[in-house]
Amino acid sequence: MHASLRLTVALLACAAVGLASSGPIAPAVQENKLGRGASEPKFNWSKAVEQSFFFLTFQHAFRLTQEKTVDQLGGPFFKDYWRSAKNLGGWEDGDSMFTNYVAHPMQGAVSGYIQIQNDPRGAALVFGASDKQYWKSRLRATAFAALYSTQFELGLYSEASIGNVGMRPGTMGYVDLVMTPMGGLGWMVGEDALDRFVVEPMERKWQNRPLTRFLRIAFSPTRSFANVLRFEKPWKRDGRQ
Amino acid sequence: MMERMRAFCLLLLSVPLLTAAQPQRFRVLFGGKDAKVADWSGSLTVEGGEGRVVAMHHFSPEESFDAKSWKAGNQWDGNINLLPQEQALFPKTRWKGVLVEVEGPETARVKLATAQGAAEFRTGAVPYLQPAALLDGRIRVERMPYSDRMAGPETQDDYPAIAAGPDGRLWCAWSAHRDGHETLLVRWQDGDGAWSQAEALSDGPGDYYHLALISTAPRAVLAVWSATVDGNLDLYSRRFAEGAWGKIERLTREPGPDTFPRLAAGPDGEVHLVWQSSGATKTDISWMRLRGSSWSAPQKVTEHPASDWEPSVAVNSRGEAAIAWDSYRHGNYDIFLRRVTAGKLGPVERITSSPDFEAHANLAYDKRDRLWIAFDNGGPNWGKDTYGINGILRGESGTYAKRQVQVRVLERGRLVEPTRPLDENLPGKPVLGSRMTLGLESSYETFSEMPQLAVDGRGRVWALVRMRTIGRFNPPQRESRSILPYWTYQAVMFDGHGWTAPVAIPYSDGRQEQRAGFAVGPSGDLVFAAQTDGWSLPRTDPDYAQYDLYAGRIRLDEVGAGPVDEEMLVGASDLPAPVEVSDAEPAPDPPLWKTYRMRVNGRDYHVTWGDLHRHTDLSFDGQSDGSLYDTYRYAIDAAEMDFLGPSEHLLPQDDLSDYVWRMVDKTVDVYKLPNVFYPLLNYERTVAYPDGHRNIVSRSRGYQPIRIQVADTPSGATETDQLELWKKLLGGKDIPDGFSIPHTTATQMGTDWRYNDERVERLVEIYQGNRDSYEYYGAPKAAVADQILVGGYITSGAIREKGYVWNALAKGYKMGFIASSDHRTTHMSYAAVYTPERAYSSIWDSLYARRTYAATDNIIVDFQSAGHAMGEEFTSAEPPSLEIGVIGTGEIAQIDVIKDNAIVYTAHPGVQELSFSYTDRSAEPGEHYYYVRVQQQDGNMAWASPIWIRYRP
Repeated sequence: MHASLRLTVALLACAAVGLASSGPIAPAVQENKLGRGASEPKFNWSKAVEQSFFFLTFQHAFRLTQEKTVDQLGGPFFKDYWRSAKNLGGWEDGDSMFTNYVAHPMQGAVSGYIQIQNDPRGAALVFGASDKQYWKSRLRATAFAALYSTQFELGLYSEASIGNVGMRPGTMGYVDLVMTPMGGLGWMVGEDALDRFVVEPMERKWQNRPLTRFLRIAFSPTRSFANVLRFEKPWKRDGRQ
Repeated sequence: MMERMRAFCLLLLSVPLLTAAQPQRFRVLFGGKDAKVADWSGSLTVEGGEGRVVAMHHFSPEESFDAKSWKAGNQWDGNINLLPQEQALFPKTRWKGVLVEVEGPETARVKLATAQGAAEFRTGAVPYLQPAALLDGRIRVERMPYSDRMAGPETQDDYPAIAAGPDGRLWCAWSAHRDGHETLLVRWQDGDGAWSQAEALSDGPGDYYHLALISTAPRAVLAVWSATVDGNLDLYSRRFAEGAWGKIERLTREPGPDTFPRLAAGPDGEVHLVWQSSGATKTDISWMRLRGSSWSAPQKVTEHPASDWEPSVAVNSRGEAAIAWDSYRHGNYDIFLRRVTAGKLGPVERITSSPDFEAHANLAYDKRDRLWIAFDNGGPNWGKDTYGINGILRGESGTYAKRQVQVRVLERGRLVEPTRPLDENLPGKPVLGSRMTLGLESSYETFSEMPQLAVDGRGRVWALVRMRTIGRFNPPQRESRSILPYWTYQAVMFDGHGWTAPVAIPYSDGRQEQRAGFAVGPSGDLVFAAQTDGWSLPRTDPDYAQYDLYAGRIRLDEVGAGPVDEEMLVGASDLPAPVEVSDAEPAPDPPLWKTYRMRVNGRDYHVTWGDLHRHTDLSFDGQSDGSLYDTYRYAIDAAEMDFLGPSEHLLPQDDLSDYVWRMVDKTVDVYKLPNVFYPLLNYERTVAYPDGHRNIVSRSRGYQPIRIQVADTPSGATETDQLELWKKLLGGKDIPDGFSIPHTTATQMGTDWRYNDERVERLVEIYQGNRDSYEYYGAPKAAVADQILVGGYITSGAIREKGYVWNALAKGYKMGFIASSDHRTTHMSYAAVYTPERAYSSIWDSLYARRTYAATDNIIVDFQSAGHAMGEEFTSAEPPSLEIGVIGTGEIAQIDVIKDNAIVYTAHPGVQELSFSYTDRSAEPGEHYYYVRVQQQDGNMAWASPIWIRYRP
């Protein structure tokens, strides 16, 4: 197997293992009339996949406004896709510093928050440096971000398949596959910490609803975007109004 | 026949004597239309008679009067505290005045010398309904009926009834409270105007409620009353005839309350008694009659499964009786009628069918045997979803957003409504002077209610109505809500075309629910017995907060208008004819939220719904809440609750007298419907932050509120007041006589949780329907500043962050959760309790056990752990595992598990029902608390009480 593909498979496997810790899919509806023993609703895969799909579509739609993407739309789909994917190699992918070290971490954070907002054991947790539950939750979110990132880069509905990124040598590197989840983790933790130590105190101090909304969006842009993907108000917090 | 002739002769002889013996009474008002505040101090002299000032009207504590003079202005007193935009709406001056009594002929002249000028009037020139305007309209003089005080200050006098016999004798009976119990007293007045000494009607002190009197023979009277004996509220009667009182006769024996007796007599002397009786489900209406000396067996007038309330009865010239009542059978109150002909009940007829609150019916037949039906209209959606001040601003109803007496006339199947509204000439729309009150649209409406009809000797129909007005002032130190309403009785007359201006009934000022006696004497005069509660008097007045009873009459010869035209209903609007309705309807299947049982460790607990913090008009700030009686109706019908604890304010300055607490205590028996509804006994100790307001839920009847130890501290109470409260509630026992529930804890009404005694402080009102949630800062529905000030009106007061419930839980306080309403809001806050039995003691014990949850709608929450219900604490060697079940009233948007002040589990189920178990696999050894919070898509919420688990692996 091509080395880059082996790495991709390994990344996917790691992500799957990470998410497995959040347990099996549980039905949202319990048919019993408050009977005992029903297991707790756990990670909501269907909602997470749905929201991820929206995010992917949003990203690809944005890419379709770029000339370089439109230029590569022609040609045989699967053949070009394969040619693009197998070119994964090296660290750099030719993108700017901003794209690789800011935009991709943000992408990772958005996808991480998609995981968080569908994970009952993580959705309302607030930042806690020594809170094991918090870190477990955010690592699960990182695993999900890795899965999402791999799909975004190399999956069937990806940069490789739409616009054939990578077909041109030097445009497909590991930077995105690493920086998206790992940078995303850092971004999420940063937003969580800001939310706890900056936004919430300011909310308390000013107690002004429009200002509260502005602060939440300004200091937690990726979480706000993830909220929109689940058709909620951008400033929603599961633990507070 | 001879007896009647003798009575008639006596009556003819007595009328001139009465006229001569009783003073004429006038209310002299001044300055209410002035553009500026002015000094209206003055004095009076009477030419051709004797005159004296006997009372004041709206004087402040600094203003005064004596028999011949007064010192007062026309200013508003107290802190009116208007917002700038309200300044223009609010009149600068108000009518103040004095009550003047004049002994002398109609030619006597009353001369007034005031600081604003002199004026005079001749007494005979000011008949009823024709007030005089003096000094360019700056002085207004109204004739008021003379009335006699029935009892001295040693008793608190209530529940009056009055009757006039064919011999002209007036009978007045009432309940006199003294030393913690009541005695029924009666006095009579013959033609010479002197009232007899009071005699005991009842056989000793007891718990007495509503009274009815009727006199169908000279020197004879029949009294019927309700009394609690051996825990059951029944009707009793007693007759006076041939100079002696007969034995007391028990008329009802069924379990459940029998009360609100009403009497009417036909031309043959047959007496009809109707009352509100207990039914198989809720309340029914019953009827019996007295022929000669024998009562017939009670018969049900209606047995419909819905509540039927407060009947009225009238008898026409042919001896046919009509019985009216209001029923909740169509999901709102409508008026129903049933007639009795030759001793047989006819079909049930529906008189009103609008979605409005239509209740408190009263009947009278006029001289042409047309049936007049008067009732209260309280607007649509009464008692349905109303969110506090915001709701009222949105036009939601609550329980007291509107009251207007309406009238229907029924004549041979034709139902008409007089075109002119009864309240058109009542004093205009009051503007109430406080931020709290000005925020309510209802403040601008004229409120008239609880009508009583009578037809005078000239065939004119009169209505005695309770009217909300303003004038009670509060001490200046109270920052807002300084001008509050009180209620008075006004008599209005239908003159053939419309309703006249009112005749104010003296000494009838008081709370909303004070009911007057009203009847017609043989001469056609109107007689009344009304009482004052003395709240509108300055605190320094010896009669302040004193319930006093006055009986008097409106004399026909002093009423300006003549007999009415035969075609007095020309121009009336025809309404759809009454519809016969079936009374035999099965009780509908109750919804799941009324029948759900939580099974814990093999034992079933019924979910029951209630409210433990709801004010009525008895509270100083209860102007928008309605009466105690209507509050119970709301709980039983509109909210379908299982229990309610009306919770009046106990202020540091002791606003409410012992008698008011006694009255609230007694009313429990009137609304206790076995297996259906249980009134609980509450009161609210109103101590400011940092001690906090607390509702005290009493274990049983006969409570004595524990007074606040007043001190000059921020809270208004001593440092030890709270600790003393708990100590007294415990009384040296392990289980107290009452437990406390703090509320609005993160506001200026709240607490910093400085003290705790788990034996007494068992619950916290985590959510209040009138305001917000106080779970933690930022919690769903929690108070934040821009919610506190809605439209310029304070809803919560300033936030005190130390008071959030999480802070108390973090301190290790163990408190269960409830929601309640406080003011205005209806149908949006519930204290849900799981109780093994539907009984007062069981509900109280379950509250004490914290087997409770708070909810804004009838959401079922079933929360337990390892055989322990919500509210319990236990030790476990296994990781804490929670069993959670929810049946929502809508889609459940979010469900949270909170552990030790952190949300450790949040799901978005998007369904209406779910159940699951949650195991805390990461629990550390030690004690943890867990609770569940539910949020629906429609905004409704529920908070289950915590379970405290000591995890010892």
